[in-house]
Amino acid sequence: MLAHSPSRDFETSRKTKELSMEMILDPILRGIAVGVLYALVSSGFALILGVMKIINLVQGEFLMLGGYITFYLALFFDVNPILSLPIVFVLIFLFGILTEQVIDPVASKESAGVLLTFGLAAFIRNLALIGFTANFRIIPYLVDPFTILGVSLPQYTILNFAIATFSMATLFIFLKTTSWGKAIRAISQNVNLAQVCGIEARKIRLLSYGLGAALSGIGGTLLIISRNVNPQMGPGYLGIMFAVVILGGLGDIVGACVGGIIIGLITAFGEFFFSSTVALAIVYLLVPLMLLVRPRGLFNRGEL
Amino acid sequence: MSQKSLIILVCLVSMIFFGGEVYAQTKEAKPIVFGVAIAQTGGFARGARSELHSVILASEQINKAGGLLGRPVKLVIYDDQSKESVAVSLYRKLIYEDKVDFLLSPFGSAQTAAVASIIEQGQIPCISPMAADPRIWEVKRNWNVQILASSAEYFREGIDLVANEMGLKTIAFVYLDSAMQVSIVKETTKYLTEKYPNVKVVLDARFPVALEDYTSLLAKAKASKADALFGGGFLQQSIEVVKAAKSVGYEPKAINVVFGPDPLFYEGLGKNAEGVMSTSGWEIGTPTPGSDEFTKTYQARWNEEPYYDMAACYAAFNLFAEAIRNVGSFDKKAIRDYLYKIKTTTVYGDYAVNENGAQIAKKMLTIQWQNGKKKILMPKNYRTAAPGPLWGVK
Repeated sequence: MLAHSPSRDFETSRKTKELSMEMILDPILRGIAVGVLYALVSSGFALILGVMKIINLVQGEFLMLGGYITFYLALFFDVNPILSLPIVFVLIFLFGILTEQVIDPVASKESAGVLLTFGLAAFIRNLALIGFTANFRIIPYLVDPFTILGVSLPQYTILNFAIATFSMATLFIFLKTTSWGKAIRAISQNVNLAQVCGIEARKIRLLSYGLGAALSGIGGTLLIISRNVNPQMGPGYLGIMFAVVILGGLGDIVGACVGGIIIGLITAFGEFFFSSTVALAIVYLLVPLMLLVRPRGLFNRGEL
Repeated sequence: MSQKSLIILVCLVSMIFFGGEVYAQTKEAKPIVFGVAIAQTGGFARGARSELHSVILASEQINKAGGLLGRPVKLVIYDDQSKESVAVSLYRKLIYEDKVDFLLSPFGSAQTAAVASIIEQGQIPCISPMAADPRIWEVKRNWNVQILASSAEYFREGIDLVANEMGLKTIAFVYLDSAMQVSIVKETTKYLTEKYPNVKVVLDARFPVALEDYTSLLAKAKASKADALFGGGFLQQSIEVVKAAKSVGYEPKAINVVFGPDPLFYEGLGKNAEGVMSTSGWEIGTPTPGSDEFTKTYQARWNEEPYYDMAACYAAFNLFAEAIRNVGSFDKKAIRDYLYKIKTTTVYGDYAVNENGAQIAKKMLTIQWQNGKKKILMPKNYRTAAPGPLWGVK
């Protein structure tokens, strides 16, 4: 029977490389690779939360739609997934603006707003189920490994890292340097004061919602390469987005980016040293813990 | 009236009377009702279409051929949303409200296990076409028989292949934490212990359905340096496991995952499916009775090639038809007894159950993707190609 004692065998092999650098580097690199993806999809969620003060449950569906646009562009027009990114951005941005028109009338009423996004998300999901069928879709792209610091990672990790970092950096520059970006920050900090200063809150809400949606759409493109997309994927990713924004602080975009990386690292370390189930349990344990101990997030800047 | 006119008149009258009688019989015969809840939404929807499509096809064919003992077949199909709790409610509805005559159990071991006791209470003959978990039939089921091979059979041929022809010394199991996969790995480990005691299981890792990043897990498998990787989940997870193995540079001698015969498996993995093995209950060209005809009609009806799930569900429905025809009535108890006693070969393969209703005759195939086609490797007498290298790496 000892020959079939997996845990014992694996424990032995684990101990022999207890202090190896690989043991630390492996989850770090893997955690960052996943974390940037989480950060990207969650930054859109945080942006909408920050500006519109609404928990946007449609966010997971933007992710799904982004993935499907990339899939069908590749299927029908042989468009490379990377080249589909600008198209995904524009289309999901426009779809986001349309969605915002539906949400805006009740956005100020918290519960009604959340319920409306819940209904909208279910509607889009079921429509997608009819239109795209229940089949999940994958684009096998850049799957081969590359080795960095002795750790083998999929090549698509580089793509994910580059696109996610570029998207988030562009968002920060946009928010910091442009008048539109400054208006978004102003609205997110104090809508009444911003309006007194002549900022058109309605337009800014539209822009923010469109941007938030488009960021998730880009995430969908990256997901169809690195994982898969299917009509029912939204709620699962929404769970991750919740964990990230609660860690980073509700509505805090920088917090969401850092939170995404931290969640990625926790997942990777949990999986490496314990198991995938334990890793997920730790991630979701963080949600109530953060709300109890540090409700305004890591940087103490989030909404309450 | 001439003689010719008289003959024509008699013929016309006969047609009206007798033709009308036949028509009336077909129209008025009470349908025989088969009930089933099949996931059409949720995580199992993709895989469960096999049951939905096959059951519809089989019932259409039976009705086209005049029904069963002169009565048309009617299907009552619900969507269990891939949820066990929903399946339980739906089977209560099928039995007590819809009052169906016969049942097929839902897609998946967990779902089938959830409704098993309700079927027993309802005392409706049921065939379970999509449940492999042997624990369902560890207790005596008086009204429910299994079509799929027991989970103990799933990797048996695959293990023999890697142990006898590929020099297996160590093995890693990476698999979904669900009833079917857990049961398959448990039974396979037991088989290894009994038949290949020198083979070491160096990793036994379950993963949850919500797992996002599979690379950490497969990095563990790589670190274990196992000669072979067995496991997977449902189609989606099996693809992720293979993709992650490739993307972390883990190149064992063999990878064998469940649900690999689905064409979407190759579509999702592309060339990374090359050389990957899988377990299969039936493949196009398997020499079972009606196999070619089933392939042709399924393709014509649903515009896709069938794989073994479809064959199993189609066989299940036709087994009911065979039982009803041979018993010569719709007596539930007589049909139940027939299903428990008969030893036959269906499109899907051999069928016989033990006193609990568990399948005992069906053996599984081991297939491998080679140049985009499925080749049968095991059993050896069905072999259509020699085992090829994983991902073309020798």
